[in-house]
Amino acid sequence: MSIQHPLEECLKTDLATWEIGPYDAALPGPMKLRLSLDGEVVVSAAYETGFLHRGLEKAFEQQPWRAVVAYSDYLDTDGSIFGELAVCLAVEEIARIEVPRRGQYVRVLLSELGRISAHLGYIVRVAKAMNAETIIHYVLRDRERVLDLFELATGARYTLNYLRFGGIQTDITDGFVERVLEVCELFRVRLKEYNDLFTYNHAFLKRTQGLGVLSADRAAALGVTGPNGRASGHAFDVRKAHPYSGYDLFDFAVPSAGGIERDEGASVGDANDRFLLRLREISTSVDLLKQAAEGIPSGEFNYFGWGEKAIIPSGEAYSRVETSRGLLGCHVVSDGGPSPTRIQFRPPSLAHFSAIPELVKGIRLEDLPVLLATLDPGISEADR
Amino acid sequence: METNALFAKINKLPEGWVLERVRFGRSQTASIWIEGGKVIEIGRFLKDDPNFDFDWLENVSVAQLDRVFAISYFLRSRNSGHTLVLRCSVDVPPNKQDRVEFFSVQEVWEAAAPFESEISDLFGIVFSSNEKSMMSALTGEKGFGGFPLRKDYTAGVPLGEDG
Repeated sequence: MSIQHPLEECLKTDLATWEIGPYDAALPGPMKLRLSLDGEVVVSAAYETGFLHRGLEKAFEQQPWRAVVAYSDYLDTDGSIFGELAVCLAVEEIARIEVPRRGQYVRVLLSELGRISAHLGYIVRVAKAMNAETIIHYVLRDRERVLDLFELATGARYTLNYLRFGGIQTDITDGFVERVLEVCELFRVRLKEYNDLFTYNHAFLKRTQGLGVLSADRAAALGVTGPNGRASGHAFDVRKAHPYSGYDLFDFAVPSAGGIERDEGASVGDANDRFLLRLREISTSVDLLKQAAEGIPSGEFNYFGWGEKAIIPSGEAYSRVETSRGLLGCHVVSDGGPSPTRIQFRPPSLAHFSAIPELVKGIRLEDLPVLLATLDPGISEADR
Repeated sequence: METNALFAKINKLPEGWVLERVRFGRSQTASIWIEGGKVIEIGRFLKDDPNFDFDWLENVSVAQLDRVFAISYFLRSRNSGHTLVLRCSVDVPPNKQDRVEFFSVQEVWEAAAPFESEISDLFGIVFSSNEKSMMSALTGEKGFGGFPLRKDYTAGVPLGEDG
């Protein structure tokens, strides 16, 4: 006769199902997550999005071409410049518009500032998920400096509406370049502060190392790009693979998982790697900003003169931009009419959401907010 | 692989596979039009054949051109970095509430899942192996009262009230 251990009997439970969302502090935005739980351990998960769908792609078809840039700001307000740039690049290819070198440099400056701003927002979200209050204040203080630069150049802090087909709306303000260089110096110091405060904090390391490991092959199969893909070793960066706006003129290295020192046997592509990679990307962006600010040429900033209007002929084009979250594709179709026939975005976050069900398998429930924060899928661009 | 070299390889594909080969827009990217019914077979070949090695489906885009949905698969080789646009078309159904069935390429490229799910909700193109929409009940046929990215969509009118 076998004797059943008393604990075995009292701990025997069926799987429980738990639905989180659409509004929950643990989630990256309005979405639902259906979890199957064995005690506190996640056995399986399914997600549901669409709660933030704004009909953005349909709206493009109903607006004149001149409104397209303004609308594309709302693809992802964490990095509105990237949506603008993707649309402009595609339309400029259709209309054979060549952006003057100064316009291209300003686009690079704003893109890298946008990347830093978005990555600082990312640090805040991760810190929030970890209940690490102090770092949040430091990072938000520094992000204000970047938003100040946006305001100085464009008059806006988030939704910039600054790019135009053929270049940029107006030339950058006097003193902008000097202030960019000041911010570059500031961030070299600040990155060390962030590391001292947070990155090497014992609790942070314990909670993120080995959590939500995504292999390079799985990242590639699911189409995960950007810092999440590179943290897994899927080393793809549009700025290198398909240089745009003169990125091929700059000397920069794209950080990837291969360059991170780790303990023997430690996993590549975990939550900690995803966080570290963003910090290293801030450093790369600072290098790029410095080069662009020091080398910005004088001259025209837009292909068109004041009052001239771009005429978009029939045709189609597909542009790619490296956003703070990964590969943003933009397919534009024109029939030569006053409005686009079709503008379709390939937002990087679509793939990041696809990765959630397999990343959360086997993790404990209390680690879910940390995992989602480090993966950082953007609900705004996925639903759009 | 330059575009011409890629076209030379495409020329060697079995007869009947490629309906037309052209450059995509004004870019240097090659694109080929194929029959919709062969998308899985051709897709698998383009992925598995080492001469092509298009192992990454970067994007799936649909555009309604008159009474046809043009479906574009943006392919990329991870090893070589080469790109190709695989294209096919499917007729727009005569009634705007009708869905149209097409072949899912998820068995070839897993990354197709979220794109097919979106296209199903917004265009009413049902992909054969797409078991369930990932988008919420707020979107899709029920929530939108139709398929909003079709050209004949009228916002805010539930299905059945205007035909």
